[in-house]
Amino acid sequence: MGLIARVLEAAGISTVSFFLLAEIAQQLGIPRGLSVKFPFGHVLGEPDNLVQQQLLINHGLNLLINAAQAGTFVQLPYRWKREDWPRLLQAQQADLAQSDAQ
Amino acid sequence: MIGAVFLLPNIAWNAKLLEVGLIMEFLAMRRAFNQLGAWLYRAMPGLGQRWAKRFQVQSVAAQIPWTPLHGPLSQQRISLITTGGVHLRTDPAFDMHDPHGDPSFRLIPAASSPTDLMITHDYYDHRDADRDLNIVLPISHFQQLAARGTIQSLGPCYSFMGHITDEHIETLIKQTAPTVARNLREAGVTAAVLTPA
Repeated sequence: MGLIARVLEAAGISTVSFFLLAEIAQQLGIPRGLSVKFPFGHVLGEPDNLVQQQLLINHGLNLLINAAQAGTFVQLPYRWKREDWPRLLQAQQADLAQSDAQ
Repeated sequence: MIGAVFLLPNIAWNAKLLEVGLIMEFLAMRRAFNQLGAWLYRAMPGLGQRWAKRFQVQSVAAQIPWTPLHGPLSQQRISLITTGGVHLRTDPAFDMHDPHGDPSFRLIPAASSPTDLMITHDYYDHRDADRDLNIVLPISHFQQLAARGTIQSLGPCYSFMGHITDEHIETLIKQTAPTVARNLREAGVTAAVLTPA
């Protein structure tokens, strides 16, 4: 997947890539990457947990907009099935609104 | 003597049938084995992390390609790319019998509904993704983002199958991934969000 990101980026398309294995991803030379410690097949979380999926997508789009240089990598700290996702999304939206206002 | 001559082609034919049968059985067993492995990694996330530590990563040059994003999110035409083995139900499945993986890709039109799509990939447990495809390819979310104007539009999406090794890596880097890049450029796509299986 990192290889595909590199090919697209080199062809003039800005990419942001999600990963499940930060150790591998960081060695691949990813333009913009973020990782979660979730099981394979669950990169955006649990099925039908829209709030959780939305929170992770926001992180990705935020990185796409804000990364200033190649190789920017974010390791998201979230624990599998042990987070209060609605509260996290609320906090994220408050953060984004604040940074927009500045 | 005459009987033996008659029998000879039959023996050869039976041997051939047996050989085909054995190969098919072997392929079925290997798929079952891969599926068992996928289930184990799903059941124990720690296994995946341990596996990653032992994994020898090919070093891909120190220089990282970079295309700065021009303009705000609301001006981006974004495509989704996944390696989760997603494809239209009407398209051919990915090849699960080649041990080196399948380096081809499938187009997923931006207006696709998750019910138009399915997953062919034995190397991860996709029962949850079968239920809600958005955990592997967040197409419903991005259709909504486009409808709300958060992003300008959702471009054509593409799926690969992960687990590509050996000579197929070359095919991916030199042929199939550049073809997708060209298609995206031609479709006016400015950015892509990539999600693995």
